[in-house]
Amino acid sequence: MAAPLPRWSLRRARLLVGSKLALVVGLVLFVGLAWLIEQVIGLRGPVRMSPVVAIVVAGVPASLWLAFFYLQDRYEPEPMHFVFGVFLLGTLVAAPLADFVIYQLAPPQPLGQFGLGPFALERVVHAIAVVGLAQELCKYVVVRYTIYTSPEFDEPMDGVVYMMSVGTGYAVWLNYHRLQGLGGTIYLSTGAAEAVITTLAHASFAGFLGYVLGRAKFTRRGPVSRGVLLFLGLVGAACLNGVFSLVVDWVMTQGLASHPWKGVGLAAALAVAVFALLIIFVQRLLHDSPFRKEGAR
Amino acid sequence: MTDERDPPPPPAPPSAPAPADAASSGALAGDDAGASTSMSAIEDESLAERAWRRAQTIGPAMADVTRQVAYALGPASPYHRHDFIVIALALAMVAGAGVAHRRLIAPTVETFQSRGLTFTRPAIWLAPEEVPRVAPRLVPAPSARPRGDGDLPYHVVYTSSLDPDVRMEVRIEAKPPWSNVITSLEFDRRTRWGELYAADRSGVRTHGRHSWLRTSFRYTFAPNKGDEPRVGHAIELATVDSERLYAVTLYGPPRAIAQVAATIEPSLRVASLTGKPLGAPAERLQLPEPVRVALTRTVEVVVADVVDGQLRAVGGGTGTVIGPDGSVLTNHHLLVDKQRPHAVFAIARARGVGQVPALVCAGSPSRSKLWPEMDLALIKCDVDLDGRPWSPTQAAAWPAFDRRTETGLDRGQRLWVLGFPDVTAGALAVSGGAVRGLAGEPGSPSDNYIKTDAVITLGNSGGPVVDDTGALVGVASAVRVTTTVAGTQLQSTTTGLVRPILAAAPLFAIVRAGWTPRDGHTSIDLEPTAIEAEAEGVRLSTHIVAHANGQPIPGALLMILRPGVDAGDVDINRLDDQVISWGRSGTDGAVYLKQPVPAPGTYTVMVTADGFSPLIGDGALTLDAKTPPYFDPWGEVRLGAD
Repeated sequence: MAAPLPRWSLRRARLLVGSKLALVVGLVLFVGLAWLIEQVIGLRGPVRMSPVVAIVVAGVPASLWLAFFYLQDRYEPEPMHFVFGVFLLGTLVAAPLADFVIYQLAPPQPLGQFGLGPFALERVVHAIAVVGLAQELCKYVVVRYTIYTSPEFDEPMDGVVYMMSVGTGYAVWLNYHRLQGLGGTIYLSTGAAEAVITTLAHASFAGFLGYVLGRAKFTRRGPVSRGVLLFLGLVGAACLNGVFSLVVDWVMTQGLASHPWKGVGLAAALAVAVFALLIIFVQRLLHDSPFRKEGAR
Repeated sequence: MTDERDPPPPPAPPSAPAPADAASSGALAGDDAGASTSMSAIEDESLAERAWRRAQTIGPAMADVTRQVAYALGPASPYHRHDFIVIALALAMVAGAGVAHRRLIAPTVETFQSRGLTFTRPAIWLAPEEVPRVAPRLVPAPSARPRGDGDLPYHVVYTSSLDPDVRMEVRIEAKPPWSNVITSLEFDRRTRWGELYAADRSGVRTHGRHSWLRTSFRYTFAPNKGDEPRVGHAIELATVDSERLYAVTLYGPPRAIAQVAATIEPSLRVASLTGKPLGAPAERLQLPEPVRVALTRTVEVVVADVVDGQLRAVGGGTGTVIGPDGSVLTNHHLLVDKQRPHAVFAIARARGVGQVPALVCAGSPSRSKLWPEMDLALIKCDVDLDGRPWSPTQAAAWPAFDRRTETGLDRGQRLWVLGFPDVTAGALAVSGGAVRGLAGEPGSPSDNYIKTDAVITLGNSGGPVVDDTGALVGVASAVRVTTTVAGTQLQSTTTGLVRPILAAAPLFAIVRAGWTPRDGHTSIDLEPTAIEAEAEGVRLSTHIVAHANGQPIPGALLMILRPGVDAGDVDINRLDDQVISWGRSGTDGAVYLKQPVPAPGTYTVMVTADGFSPLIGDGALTLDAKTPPYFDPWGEVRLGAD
């Protein structure tokens, strides 16, 4: 016969759900606020953001998402400064490193002949095997050679938490450059929405790899199996990353017209789908967590 | 928990050994007196001592880093080796995908074939358009249509369908008459793109057993009228065969044109293989230091004419700087073709042995001092390469040769010929040789040459010939080829002919007097032609004699300059405006001025004579109301030998 649940556990669970809900509402409000500003001011065209504003627009959704992901690890929360540190590493190390690797190993070709199809072979190769793989590899390297060797990384769930942190940090870099790109002009509402979605997407891809990383660290299997597992995790995350980019680009520009909100909508759907899949994995990890108290939900 | 386990705590890595000065640190912690002593010792140590103390810690620190790395790669490390393999594999995949992607997006190629030129190019071009003709900046624009030699000239531009900033010009035209193709093309680019043209790199490469000149350059252009000027980049690939000049020029962003050039270059072919290289590197010689200094006084002279509506270099040679005002001595035959002066000349200043000179300024042979009898000429720039008024003194200093004073040359004496022979890729070159005697008939100065076995070839004309002391001996002017029969063989001997520098005395006199290029004033005579004479004044006369021996000097010219004209203002091309009275000495040295000189007044006096240093005296003549109407102010004027 199972023991009755302690009252404190229920309260904590409700608190967690409430906090997460508040964070998601905050993200929606963030996009809504940007849209409202656009409507109130009567903006009909793109705005030019100063670097400080761009950092804020890229940083606010990242902070909210980071808090959301942090709360996922409900049995043994990681030290906050470690999570934040890895987030900064994602922004300041993983992202520039990925840009460097992509530029060195696959430098841009000024006179490239691209196929018109959205899923032409050259686009697929570039999105998945060049950009996707390089980005996920750099996120992986940053976690693998920092927090991974720390005693704080003591359960498979930590892989998800830290990789999502680095993915969130990575998204700040991407969003900042998108907001500052094209001469620093961008539509405010779609820019804000893209920042929210891109952060979720990159955190989810990295979270998927973090799941594999956590599993690989604590597996009893031999080194070869660990290596294969890690490599497949990298390739899987790269595929998710690349497919996401391809589909969003395809929807955003169909024919000669641009449909930013269609792209944002589909990107949101894809990112949420990947995140939902990740949540299923996370639930399994939480269920098997060595820190889960008997009877806790 | 299923198959998972708690991770073993990673072993602590080996700690770094204590630095060499740890002992003193311990003393600092444990003993205040010792600490103050050590602190003062450290404060007192010199920079070198401090550097040495710190250097001593490097060895142990490096050893510790090595131990750390070995540990990280070892079996006990948390940095597992198979993880490195995963990362390496992923990086290899990214690199491989990058290569595959590059190949997938590489444009397809097609073959260009026209008028003897063939090459492979990316198939990314729109239909060709004719390149609009650019009016020459240095000469009045002729309205004449291109002559057209059959299907030449062919000059079209292709614009890329992928990037409108990327363009490819193909130019095929008759082979330039000047065999120095490298400088000829440099002249074309400079005169086309103006003062903001700058050559970056230039070199000769071989493609299909034919040498091609590859030049990267920058230029400035405005995409549309009124736009901000932008810096453009270009790569020109050019060659000549026995009949034609071929040039493919790529314009656009550097990475894009480098990509197109990489496709085109290996496939470049022309119809006929002459096998003649565009240029060989100049021979490196051990030069005496004075000769090396003389190189700075050597310039290249390029002459150009309007051909098919475009200004084209048609010939060139070398010049010898003989005046700090930019006066350059060269050969007459460089500037004149079949008794017709070329449209313009340009001067390029040397940058060193083996280097292509930099074009700096231009002028016109019709504004130069021409001396066809002696095959000598004196030129000076008066416009820049965009046709705007320009003075040589605006540029950096012009180091100039002094005229040689002693005349003796011994047979066998070593000579150096400096110049820009066409065979050295347009670069400054030096050849050494010896005096082999004198040529010509006595009493016939125009046939008077120094013979030498130093190599003189096309492009050396007008260049300085110096001795080991760097003194200017003469001007390289011609070669004489002697063919003899030796058994069944014909043997040719080439002798270089050098015009002795003493022959150029009148031109040196012009430089010393001062001159400004002026249309139509090509004569080397210093004599005024039609001066505006005063009706009344003092009639002057005197005697002109040699300072050395008091012998009368026949043919000397004495000129009284108008009030206000000082020595520095003298311009022998404006003597009609500057001279108020003049006369030439007779055989007895007596000179009677032709025009009366108004009194009272103070005047500058100028006296010149062949073989003597010109004499210019500011305020050398003062007349007052009491001066008699016929007057000899000096008794005699003594001139020193040149």
